[in-house]
Amino acid sequence: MRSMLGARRLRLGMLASIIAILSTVALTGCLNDLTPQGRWSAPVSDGNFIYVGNLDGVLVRIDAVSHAFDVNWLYPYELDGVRKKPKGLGAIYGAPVLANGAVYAAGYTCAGSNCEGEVLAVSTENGEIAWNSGRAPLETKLVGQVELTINNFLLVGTGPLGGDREPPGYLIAFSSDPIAGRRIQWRVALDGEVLGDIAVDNSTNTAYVGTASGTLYAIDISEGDLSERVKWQYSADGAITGNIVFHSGAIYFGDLASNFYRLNPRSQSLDWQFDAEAWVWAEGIPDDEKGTIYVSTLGGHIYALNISTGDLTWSTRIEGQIIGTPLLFDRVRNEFSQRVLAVPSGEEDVHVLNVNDGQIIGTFPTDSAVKSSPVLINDFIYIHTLDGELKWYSPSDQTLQGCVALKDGGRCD
Amino acid sequence: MELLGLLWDQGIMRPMINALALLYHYMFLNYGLSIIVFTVIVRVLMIPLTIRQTRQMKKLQALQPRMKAIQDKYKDKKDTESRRAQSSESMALYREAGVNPIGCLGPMVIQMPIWIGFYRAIIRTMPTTPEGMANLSASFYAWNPASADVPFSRLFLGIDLADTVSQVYLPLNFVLPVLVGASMFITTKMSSTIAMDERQQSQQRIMQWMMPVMIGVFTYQFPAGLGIYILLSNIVGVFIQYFVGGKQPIELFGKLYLGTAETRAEAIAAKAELAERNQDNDDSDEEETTDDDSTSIHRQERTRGNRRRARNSRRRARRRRH
Repeated sequence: MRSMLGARRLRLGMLASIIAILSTVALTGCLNDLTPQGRWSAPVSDGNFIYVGNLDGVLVRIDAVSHAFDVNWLYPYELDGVRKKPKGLGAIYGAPVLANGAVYAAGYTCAGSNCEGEVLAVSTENGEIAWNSGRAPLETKLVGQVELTINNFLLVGTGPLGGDREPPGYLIAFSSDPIAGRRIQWRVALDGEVLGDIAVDNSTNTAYVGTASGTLYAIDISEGDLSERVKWQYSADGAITGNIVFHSGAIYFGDLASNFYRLNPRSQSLDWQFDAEAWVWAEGIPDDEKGTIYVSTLGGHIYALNISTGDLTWSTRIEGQIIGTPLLFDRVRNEFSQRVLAVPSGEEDVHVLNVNDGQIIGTFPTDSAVKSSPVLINDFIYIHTLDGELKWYSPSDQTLQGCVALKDGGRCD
Repeated sequence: MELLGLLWDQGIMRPMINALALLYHYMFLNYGLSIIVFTVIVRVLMIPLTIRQTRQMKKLQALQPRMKAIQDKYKDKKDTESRRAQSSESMALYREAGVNPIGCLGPMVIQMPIWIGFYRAIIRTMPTTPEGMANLSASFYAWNPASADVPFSRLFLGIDLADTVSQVYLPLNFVLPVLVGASMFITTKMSSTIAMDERQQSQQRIMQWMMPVMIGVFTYQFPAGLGIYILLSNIVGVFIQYFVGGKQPIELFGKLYLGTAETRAEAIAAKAELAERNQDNDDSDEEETTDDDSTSIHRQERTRGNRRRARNSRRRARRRRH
């Protein structure tokens, strides 16, 4: 009888274990899909320091010359005695913006559909909130880069606010001013959440913002109480998740229906449209010298298009998705300067392309995926890799010059 | 491990994601409808397996009296030789009848990866993070027109299908897990054979209760889309099982439901036979109790003797060393 009971218990135990293992595998396997990871934040510099959002959603900085990690400057934090202990926002996707002695950024995290975000204005001097009125929490997704306007608005694109479903997104304007700051000046309800960067045309006081519902909005950012801020809108074929570019009087953007568009804001009409064969996430890079715009896709394609007509000049393809915006720079080798495009790969490495024909002529070896944009600061190319490290390279021969782990400032070279 | 991951991704996840997306594209851009149609397709595709399972179950059921006879034959023989003989006789019986004793588990084993894959597919086709959205693009086949429809609308009957059931509005957040558990209970009940002895019966009872309760509890933390899939899958499964299995009646809490007059009569007869057999077993168990007691006393004495002998030999060995 005892052995029978034992066998039964054993069988039940085995069954329960199998179910538990399967459930654990299924549940833990999905955690990464449900939690925003960030690490797409590109570095930015004021010449003295390099600022970047790290893998925990904390703004950190390193010295631009010595590359020493500044342990006293990080935000958000909590005090552990007198020591600042990082207490991150979860994920920072956009590059920080530097202006008026402050670093502006936004980050968030979500548990299911409940999101906690925050818009940051941190003093470059002491690493404290620059706004007199304190922090600016927002219960929403804050993915795209914050944008500053000349009339001191700090623009952020959001998802739905405070657990509501409708409206699904907003363009919110804070004041960037330290005294008036943090206060929401105005907001415009949108038809979808905003995942990309906003473009601003200060000459016409217009901000261009795209939504995941596929609408590009032209929003009036003039000061004062306006009854209607939406100037006009344009419906794309697919969701607009990437960045909008405003350049020389035209608007450029891509969508998830694999198109790349050029719009004329004056006539509010389409100039041309290009079939990119895969989702377009990274922003287009205009090259006035060559009369070209470089368009990249999540399928790894890079296209050089005639900026006026949208005609294809050349195309090439790399391994991995292109999420971070490529960097256009002049590579100097043996006193010979060559214009090249540094394209980050979601698989690994940043590839250097000849802009004349799209040939790959070099590689910045990263040993990790790159979903942020490479940046040229003080004669080094800085790359924030997906494993949370900031690496810098010689632009001329792509050799690694140094590496710092952005979580704790430890050297990794 | 890498190969397994590749197989899982390319063999299960990608086809599932593309199928769901394609259904979304053609089902009026309604994700709830695409889940319903997907469920029906999966269950219909599994009908041959269900038929096979039902046949195996019937054959197993028919073998039960002969199996019982073999068990009785070796009841008091606990040595290895007898156990081996019992096992080979049972296997020969299975072979003769063309039955695979674990063949009934087939559909269940096949369903498990489908569930896990479906769970992952729901989350991956309705990404809530930017990286989730970027990852989704890599899962689409180039020809799939649904890739241009991303992000998919997640609302169905006021439910956000990507939210966990616990986040769904009241009272549906509690009703859905209960319905999932109840439907699973009926499914398990329908797919189990009539137990031929008390031991088997109690095992079945535990299984019939444990699985539905566990799945019901898990459902509370599943995405609502998966909860709806499991519920629908069970309901469709009940219908299929009922017709494929020859309209057998369902016994719930001592009462018979559905079935034809003939199948109900069969079920009643089988139950009566079982009750009779259990009564016989109880009687013979009482007789055996005295034997069992004496056997256990002998076994204890034998063990004590062995221990004593081992102790003595250890002592002798120690003395020799000194």
